[in-house]
Amino acid sequence: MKLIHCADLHLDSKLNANLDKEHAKERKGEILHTFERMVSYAAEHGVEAILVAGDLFDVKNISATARNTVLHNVTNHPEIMFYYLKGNHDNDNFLSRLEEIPANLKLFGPGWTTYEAAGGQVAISGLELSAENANLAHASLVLDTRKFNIVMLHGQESRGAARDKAEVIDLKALRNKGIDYLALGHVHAYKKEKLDARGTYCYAGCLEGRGFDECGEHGFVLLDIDTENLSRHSHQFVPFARRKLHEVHVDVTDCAATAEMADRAKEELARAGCGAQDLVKIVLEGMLDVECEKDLAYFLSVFRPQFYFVKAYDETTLKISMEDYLLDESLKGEYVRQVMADGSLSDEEKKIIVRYGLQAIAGEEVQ
Amino acid sequence: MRLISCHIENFGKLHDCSREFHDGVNVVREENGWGKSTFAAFVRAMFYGLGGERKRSLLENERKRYKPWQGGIFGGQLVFEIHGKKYKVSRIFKDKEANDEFELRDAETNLLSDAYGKKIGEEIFKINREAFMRTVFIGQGECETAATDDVNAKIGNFADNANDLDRYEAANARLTEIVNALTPSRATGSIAKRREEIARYGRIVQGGEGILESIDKYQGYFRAEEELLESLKIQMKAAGEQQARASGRQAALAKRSEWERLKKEAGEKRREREERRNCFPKEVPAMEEIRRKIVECGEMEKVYERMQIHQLSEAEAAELAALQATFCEGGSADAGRIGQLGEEGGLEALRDCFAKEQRCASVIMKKWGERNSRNKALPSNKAALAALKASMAASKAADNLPETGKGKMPLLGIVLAIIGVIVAVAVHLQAGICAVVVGAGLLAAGMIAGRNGAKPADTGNGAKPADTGNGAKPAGTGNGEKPAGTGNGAKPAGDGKDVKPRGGEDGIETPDAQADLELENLRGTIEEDEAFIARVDGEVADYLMGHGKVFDEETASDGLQGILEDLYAYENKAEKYFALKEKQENFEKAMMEFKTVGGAVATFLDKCGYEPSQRPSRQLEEIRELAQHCQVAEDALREANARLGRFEAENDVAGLAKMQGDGPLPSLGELNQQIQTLNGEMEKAHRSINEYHNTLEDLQRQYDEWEECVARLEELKERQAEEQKKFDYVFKARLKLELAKEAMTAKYADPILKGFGKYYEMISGDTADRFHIDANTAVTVDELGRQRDSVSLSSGYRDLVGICLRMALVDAMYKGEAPFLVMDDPFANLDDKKVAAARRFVEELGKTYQVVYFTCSHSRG
Repeated sequence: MKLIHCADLHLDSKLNANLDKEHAKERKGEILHTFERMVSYAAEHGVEAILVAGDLFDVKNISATARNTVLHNVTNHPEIMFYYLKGNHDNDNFLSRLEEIPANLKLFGPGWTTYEAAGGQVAISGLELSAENANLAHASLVLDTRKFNIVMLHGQESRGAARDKAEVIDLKALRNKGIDYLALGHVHAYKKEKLDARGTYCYAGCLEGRGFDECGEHGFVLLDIDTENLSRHSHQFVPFARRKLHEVHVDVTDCAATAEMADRAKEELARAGCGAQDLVKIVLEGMLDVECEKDLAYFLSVFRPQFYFVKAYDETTLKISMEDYLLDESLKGEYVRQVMADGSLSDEEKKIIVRYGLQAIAGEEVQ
Repeated sequence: MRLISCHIENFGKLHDCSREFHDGVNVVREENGWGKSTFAAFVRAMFYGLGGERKRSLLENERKRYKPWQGGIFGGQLVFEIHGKKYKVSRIFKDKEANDEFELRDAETNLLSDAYGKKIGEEIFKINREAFMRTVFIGQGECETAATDDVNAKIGNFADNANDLDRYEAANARLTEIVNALTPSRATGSIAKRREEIARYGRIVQGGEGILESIDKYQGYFRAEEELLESLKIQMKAAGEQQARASGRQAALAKRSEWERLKKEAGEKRREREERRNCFPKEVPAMEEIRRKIVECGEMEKVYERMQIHQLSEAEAAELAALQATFCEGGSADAGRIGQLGEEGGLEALRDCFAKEQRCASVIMKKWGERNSRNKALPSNKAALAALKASMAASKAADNLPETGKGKMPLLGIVLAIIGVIVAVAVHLQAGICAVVVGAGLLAAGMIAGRNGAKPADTGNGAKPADTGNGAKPAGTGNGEKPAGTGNGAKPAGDGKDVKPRGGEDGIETPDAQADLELENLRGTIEEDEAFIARVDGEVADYLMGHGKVFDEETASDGLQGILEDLYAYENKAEKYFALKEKQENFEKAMMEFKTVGGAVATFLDKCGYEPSQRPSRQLEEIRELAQHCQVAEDALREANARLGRFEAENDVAGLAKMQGDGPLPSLGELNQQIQTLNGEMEKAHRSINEYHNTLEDLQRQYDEWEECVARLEELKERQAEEQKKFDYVFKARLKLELAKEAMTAKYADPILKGFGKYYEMISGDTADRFHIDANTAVTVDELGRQRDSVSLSSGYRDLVGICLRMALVDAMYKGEAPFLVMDDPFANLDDKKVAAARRFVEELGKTYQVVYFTCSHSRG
């Protein structure tokens, strides 16, 4: 029996934190389409069930397009069972307008709900964590150890406090309960660890990266259970995102001009394997001479045609060699000496002020 | 450097004006309004072009100000010398700077020179137009001066080394521009502007903080309505169930009633069926069997009809008995044989036999007839033979007779023939025939004899007697009865042939030979007839004997005729006999069939308990009608039972049987009313849900917008912080740059001060100890215990300070080849004492510089 475990799709996410309006709108559509592609993949590969471990949606009020697209895919694939466990971002108005919930859409509630599959050999249990049930949720889980037990939860594993409203999943409390596969959602990066001697727990990660804090591969987990021998199952992470996000740090130390920095960045981007369809964040780092020529707008214009989206951050620091200016009988030398002699300024401030002044004297843009 | 000459085509009011310049001081003393300042401006324009291009003021915009009043070419030429070379610079000014014409020629060769470009002033003096006007060119009332960036740069660049001091003003301007663009203290500054924007977004964000609460609130309403809807759905379901139960109960009652009706109907049909069955004394025959029996009965009636047809009447029975007696029981042998043959071969064999017998009898009869004919002709033939013999004898005798005797013979023959005919007809046929034959013989003999006697030599016509002889033969055969098949005919022919060749051998037939032939033929015929008669007699005798009769020539004909008649009689009888016998047999056969079928029908009727009547078909029809009624009743019962069975199978009849009233239920009307009310409430809840949904969507949109505002506010704040930081840094950079410039200029402030003091003392006669020059080349003066800006001095002193400072700056700027100086009546504000000193000052300057001095005053000039 093949199952797909996915989570944190965040459909309808605004995506305006990193992207401009046009890109945000386009990516919003792409994420929705990736969900559709995943369902098609399931249909083509004989997947019998899709487990959505929370945060299918991102906003309180779901758009009609997202709602209808999801429902269309569910009803259009009656051969696939959809097990949808709501996460902290999900809102229950997804199904509110439906007269009847599709037969192949299985939902969970504040108490443990268990569905059977593969002729009763596989049990899929889930509970929607909330402040009210968080304390008792783990203890109240009772499973039939003869079956292949999949448990679905959405929350932060108990190594640290959850950042938002999500509840904490106490992995210790779930040990030795007979769980074979703990399908989790909330953490946006793929992660698979041993839960106990019998089972594993896995965060599928998000289906598509949305911001530069979600770089790298994203997709879903394909689980294949041998119903002849329930102790055997395979687990495979399937990269499925339409685009990847990359954060590339480029050391531009000692570069004297923007072109040099662009060359360094090209090398780093090639090393990182950034593709034309990807979203790239370039972070310039290192120390630059205070008199170096650096034009971030031009720098970006070099890379903008090469990627779907690119942005650059300047985290370089300036360096000044005072020896160069000590005996300089020019306005520039005098200026640097004047600035560096000002004890009220921090070193960094001095460098910036020196840079501005030198750019002004050189007739360059002051930036 | 020095000016040599100039020619003004048109410049302001000046027109076609030329002037030569010499070294030292060149005084241009003209009255007011001559155009001295215009002249001075022309000199300046030859090096720097026209200034104030973008100014609107006529005074500031030199192109407008000096546009020739009288029209014509706007411009002129100026010849100057520098570094030992003379050049002539020409400029013609047009409507705008871009269209101005500039030309530089080597004054000695008059060839175009590219030693200097359009910006010849900057290239020669190393200062810009502003610096030029602040130093080398002293305009009317423009004595005050200050070191410009270019001046400073020129001063600092003692050895013409590359220096960035000249960039100070541009750098300062750039930084100032940024500071002004960013400044938080002016409304035009982006920080100030953004501050307002931040405040605006801050208010929006503050105002929108309730949106989320509103969303929560409306989601609460939404959920409450959903719950209400769920509750209404449950109520609706319950009402629906009640309605269904009530409807079900009504339906059950209706069903029970229907069940009862079906049971009753089945009972009635059963009774009806029993009644119909009771119409039969015994079992109810099957319809098919009845139909079969009716068909059989119909066939029986047909058999009966056949019986009626074939039944022999009494006469026929008697006839049959008689015929049977004839043919079977003691009849003649023929009858017995016929009867046996008929029995064995049937009527057809009998008919064949009769036909054969009749043919046989006919043949015998025919033969007997021919035999009688021949027998009857035999005497005449014999008589003819005798006559012929006699004739031949007579002929022989005649041959021996005289001719007369021969002539009487035919007549004798004719007479004899006539007599023969008469005798044959009237008395005796045979005797008559004989007489005729003899007569014919005589006739023939007489004719032969006569012919021979008449023409004994004409033997060539022997054929004719032959014809005649032949003609006799038909008379012989004229009996005609001789059958062609007897072969007798052939013989005469053969004989004829035999004779003919013989006659033909010699080609001569003699009467004797012909007579012999005739005789021979006749004798053969007679013999043949006698043989034939004997044979036929034998056959007839046998035939008669075969039929039990004795041959007698006299009665043979009757006997044969009798046999033939008997045959025909037997045939008729046999026909009759066998026809009657067949009829009798058919009757018996039909009788047998009738009995068989009748027995089956009777058995059937008996089985049904009926006494077979005379009219079994009618009885069977009645039975069929009853059976049909019974069948209909049976079918009706079966259908009723089937309906009942189906009903019982499809319905819980046990439940229907046990059905009791299960408590009070609202009426269907009440339930319908309740459902209608619930429907209304559900519709209302749906509407509310839709409204809340729309509100939520609206709120979500507002929230989205609010979020965008929050993001925008954050972005603005971030940008504001960045810009504030940049503003601070740029501001500080500008300060530091100014300090740097001051530090730089401070280095050559002292030489300038010295130069200033020198010129000041030259003009005023006083020391310049109380004057100071700062790093920005600003002159201050100690007055009343503190340094005061030169601006606070009187106009005369200000001009004096300005002129001295200019000269100090020029001294500082040009250490090499000295430039010319243009002074446009700079001492107008000086008192007489100082004017005299100023004249000396100018004269002194003239030793170092070429000075072009414009004045309207004799005292100052």
